[in-house]
Amino acid sequence: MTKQRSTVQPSTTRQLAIRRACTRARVLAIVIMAAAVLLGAGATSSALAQTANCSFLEIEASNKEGGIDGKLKPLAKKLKKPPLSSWKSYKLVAKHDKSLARMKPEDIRLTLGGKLSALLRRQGNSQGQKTRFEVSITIDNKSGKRAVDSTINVSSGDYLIFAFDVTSERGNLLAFTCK
Amino acid sequence: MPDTPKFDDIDLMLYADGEVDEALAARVEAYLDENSDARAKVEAIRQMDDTLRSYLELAADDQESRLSAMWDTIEHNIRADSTTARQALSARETESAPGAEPRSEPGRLRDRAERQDTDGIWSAIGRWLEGYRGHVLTGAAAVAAAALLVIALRPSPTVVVERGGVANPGNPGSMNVSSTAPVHEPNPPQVEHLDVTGGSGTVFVMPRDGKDDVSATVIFVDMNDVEGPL
Repeated sequence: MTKQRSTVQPSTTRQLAIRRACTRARVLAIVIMAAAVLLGAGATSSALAQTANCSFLEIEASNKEGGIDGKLKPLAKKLKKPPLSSWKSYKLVAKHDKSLARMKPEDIRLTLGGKLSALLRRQGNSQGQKTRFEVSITIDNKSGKRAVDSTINVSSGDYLIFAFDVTSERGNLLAFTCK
Repeated sequence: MPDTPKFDDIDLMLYADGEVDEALAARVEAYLDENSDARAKVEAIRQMDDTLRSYLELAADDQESRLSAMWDTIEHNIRADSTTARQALSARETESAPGAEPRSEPGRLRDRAERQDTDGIWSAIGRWLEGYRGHVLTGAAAVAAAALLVIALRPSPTVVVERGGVANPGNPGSMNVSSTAPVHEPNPPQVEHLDVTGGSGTVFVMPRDGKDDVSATVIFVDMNDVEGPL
């Protein structure tokens, strides 16, 4: 009987005070959870996506006849504009498709010589924009000496192009894009 | 070119909230001395903080009085129910003859209490929300205000793209991507950091030309007669 009254019909001020405190704690917990859900939604969605599919293109540019390789169609418009329009032909020498996992470096042995290392640092979306990738790229020369150390922010589908050994007659290009 | 620190809106917000250490605070203050836009932002953040705090305190005070009044009513009703139940029990026990009624009033009261306990969790939540709707709404308003604040203060999706790089005289191997002609573009490839060992680099941004085109950034690496990487 005593137990029944204490759980169903609290009649003492102490029990009511405990109930009030519990109720306030519940309201506070709900508010905090809602805020955490709202504010953490963006971070959670970006944290879930942990990989990027990237392509690394080795391109030989020259002033020989031949035009732009058909396999370079996504880049064709850019290759026809300055400063890249100073060469007449572009040939795809090699293409390396890599799935980059976050904070896991991937090495690529380059056909034109040397070695490239890529590291996906982070990726995320903002306000309906394309996915943005932050990638660190290092390039070592044929003798293994570090030539370039860089960190690039690139949107999905856009290109970053390194141009090496550039003369008025020829040049070696290394392009990469991620999706 | 001197290495001037830059602070984004999140850093300024942390500074305005007093959540940075002394060393960082000193650097932010130096930055604010030189940057009137950043000063205005910090001032705006502080004003918004004061406004939000005042609003929430007033809302909390208002809800406190309503909750107290509600609890007084509940307490009154509970006491009234308890008194009525005791009176009914007393009257029943007085009236009942020995052996006439096998099911006593306390037993029925216990059944009623058990029914209330097992009435269903959804109806219990519904009653709870109905009783504390004011608090829930206040909480929702606070969350909405916080979300608006975060959205308003986060960095703009439009970034400043630098055209043309210049060599860093202090470090011949590295390159600042600082620029002579800043151009606003929607998210072109951006060079955050570039180190060319024994050489220099020049950055060209090629913006998107139409919807079916892509943006590209070209880095011309000049190794200064050193053996090239490729």
